[in-house]
Amino acid sequence: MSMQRNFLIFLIFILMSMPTFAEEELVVVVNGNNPIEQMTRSEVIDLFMGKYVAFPDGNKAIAVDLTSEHKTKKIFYQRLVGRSLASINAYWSRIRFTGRAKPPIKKESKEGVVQYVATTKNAISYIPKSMLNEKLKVVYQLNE
Amino acid sequence: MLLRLLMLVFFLSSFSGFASDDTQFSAFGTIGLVTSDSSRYGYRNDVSYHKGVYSGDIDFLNHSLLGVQLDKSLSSDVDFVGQAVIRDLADPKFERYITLGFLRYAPSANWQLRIGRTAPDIFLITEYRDVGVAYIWATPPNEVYGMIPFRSLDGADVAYSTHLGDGTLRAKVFTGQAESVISSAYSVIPIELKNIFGLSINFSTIDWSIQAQHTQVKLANEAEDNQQIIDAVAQMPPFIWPDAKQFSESLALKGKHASYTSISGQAYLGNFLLTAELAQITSNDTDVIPKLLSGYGSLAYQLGEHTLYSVYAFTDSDSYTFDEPGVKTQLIPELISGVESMNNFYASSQQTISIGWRWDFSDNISSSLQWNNTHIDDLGGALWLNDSADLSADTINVLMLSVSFSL
Repeated sequence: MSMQRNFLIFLIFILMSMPTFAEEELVVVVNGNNPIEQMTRSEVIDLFMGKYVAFPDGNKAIAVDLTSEHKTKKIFYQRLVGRSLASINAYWSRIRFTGRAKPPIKKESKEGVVQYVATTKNAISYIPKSMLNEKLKVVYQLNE
Repeated sequence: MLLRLLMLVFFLSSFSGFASDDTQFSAFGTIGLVTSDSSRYGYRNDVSYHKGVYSGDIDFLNHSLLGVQLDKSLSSDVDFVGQAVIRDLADPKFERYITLGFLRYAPSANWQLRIGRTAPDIFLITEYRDVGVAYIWATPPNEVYGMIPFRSLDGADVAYSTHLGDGTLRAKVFTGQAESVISSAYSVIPIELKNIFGLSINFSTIDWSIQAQHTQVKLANEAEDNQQIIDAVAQMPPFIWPDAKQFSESLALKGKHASYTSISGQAYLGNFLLTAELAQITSNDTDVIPKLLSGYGSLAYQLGEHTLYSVYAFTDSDSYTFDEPGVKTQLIPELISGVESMNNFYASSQQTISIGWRWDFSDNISSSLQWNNTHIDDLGGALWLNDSADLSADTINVLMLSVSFSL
């Protein structure tokens, strides 16, 4: 009995410490008034990697990112480009410290991201699907 | 210097960056340790640096630096970027610590114009060569990057970017002027470039990129040591040196032109990262700058937070031996030696095999441990400091450890 209980505690501990990759469904969102309906993966990559920061209709976009300590950010880049956050930060060091492109605006919280995109017409960011509201529009869904 | 750098890194590590929607502060830095086994050729990061690492030395100055940056949005189309890099310099001047300082006007996502101080986009990594976290190596291959002392360009550039297929095409033209120094074992020589015109074209997807760059420059000054040799040659009477005047003009660098050309590519193939670059520095106007062909190929394998890599790099140029017809060399041996030294000043001919291990021990801090085995050919050690008269071939081992961060 004691062994079974220990195993159960061990299992709960393992499950709690596992990354929540499988649980969180992420979507790329824009302001509800943005005319863009859909974006391709390559367009989303260009935008969040600072290569071509615009919507498909050519209008300039404002990319909004989370600060590095957020697990959601790690999941987003892993799903979008298949790279670790260390690799993404190394990449952005090349862009930022050469002044090649403006870095994305950073928000401390997912709620901050939702609020900014909901009130800024040309903003774009990523959030858990569960945080969607009527002022946001999904333009790309990240597959697990 | 090192202690101050460590304290600054510690301070910056405890701050997660001050940022608002319009203003962002960020920082990067490296603490680098270098040891070498040569008592004749002193290792240095590039030709601007004046402190070589010799056998028995443990050097913290060649690779260590701290950079701070401000990004300030002034309107939806205009922003300012300023950057300062604190490091040990051969000839410290305030303006040499300022590496970026430009205004950008981006009227659309396709076009941007930058005016002010930017980073030189001459070869693949010249723009971010001092940002250690940005590449896997402890330092970019010296064979290609060691010959370029410039860290900034004062002028303007225009870039065009567009989404093309699954990738992005980016083309940039730039113009301006630059200055730095080149150090020998005996002196630190200012070098100025004017009328710089360059073109850089890049096509990249998330998994691979190719790039071509070409830059033309005009050399704007004459080093004092060179001028003395030029004057001495010009004053030689015809019975010693028949065409001395004409020859002395061929030695002058001021007003002469040089060009920098590079083609490069990078590709992620699963866990492998391949990087290769072929570069050339040449001048049709003067023999003092020989045709320098250099390149490298790097293969890295990433396993989680660890990356193992190897690099083969080379640089090749002809060395100069005095053989002008009709000159009575036995009467002016010191001057002939001076002419040979001058024409071999930029002669670089060596090959390096490197193996290394990068460890990303957090999302924004990494270390790179790298061992270089370099064979220098006869008279080919321009990338090194050597205060002896012996310029013959040698094989040198250099061990380097760099810890780099970005915030």
